[in-house]
Amino acid sequence: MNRWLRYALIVIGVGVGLVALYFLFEWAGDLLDSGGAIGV
Amino acid sequence: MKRFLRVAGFTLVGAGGLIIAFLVYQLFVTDLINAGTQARASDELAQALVERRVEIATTTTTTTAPPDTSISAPTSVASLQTEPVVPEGEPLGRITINKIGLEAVLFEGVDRDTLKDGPGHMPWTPVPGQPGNAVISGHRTTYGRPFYDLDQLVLGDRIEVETAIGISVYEVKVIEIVLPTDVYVTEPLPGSWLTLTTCHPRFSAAKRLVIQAELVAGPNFDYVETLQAEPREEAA
Repeated sequence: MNRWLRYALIVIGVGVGLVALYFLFEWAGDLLDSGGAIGV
Repeated sequence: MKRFLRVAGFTLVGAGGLIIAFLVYQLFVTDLINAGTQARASDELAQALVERRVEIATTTTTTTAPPDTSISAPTSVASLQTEPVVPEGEPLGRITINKIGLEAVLFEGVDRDTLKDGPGHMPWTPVPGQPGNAVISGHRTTYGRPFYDLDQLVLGDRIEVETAIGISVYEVKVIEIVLPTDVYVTEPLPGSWLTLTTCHPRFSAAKRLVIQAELVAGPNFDYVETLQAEPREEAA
């Protein structure tokens, strides 16, 4: 595989992973503390 | 077997790292994000309050979240001071609870993003200082944890909320634990009340700690007293 293509795939993979991790943390954060609102 | 142990080891270390990263993010990074937001919002609020006070002084037809309409208007001299409308997501005022060392900029709105900035006022309830039941929600353990020590309050403690009309002082009268679906705590109340809600217990969103406090001083105190002193009109 072309070296540059491999680097690009790694960068994209890390980016997608970080975005997924952010949403995972946000979702799990709601279990810890959802903001305290009632009925919303 | 050796390979299995190696894979299992890496998996467990990875999972542990993920959990540590999650806790660091939630308990520290969100606090840093919130500190920056609160500092910026404090400056914005100071400017906004000046502008809103000018607006109040120059207009007599300003309206905002209406007071409880089930209460008939008083006929005596005390007059109701109303607030200019504040768009959702904007700084509304400042909440101070000396007992627990809280001083935070209060925002309009209780959506997810607004509550990350600070305590939020439910837009469909009266603004603090107005007749009825003003509801404010806030994070307990993340995003600056404004209501972390809310369980330290006892009956009689004071809560101050500064808005464009001035500082309204409330005294804690009710403390209860309810479910997140118990919307009855947000329903209108006679007089002027402030309801604070946050997650309970700490580090869990399973329930809500609710503090209800009644207005004891402020720009609309005399008006509210007059409302309660006058007999309600009976339906003909």
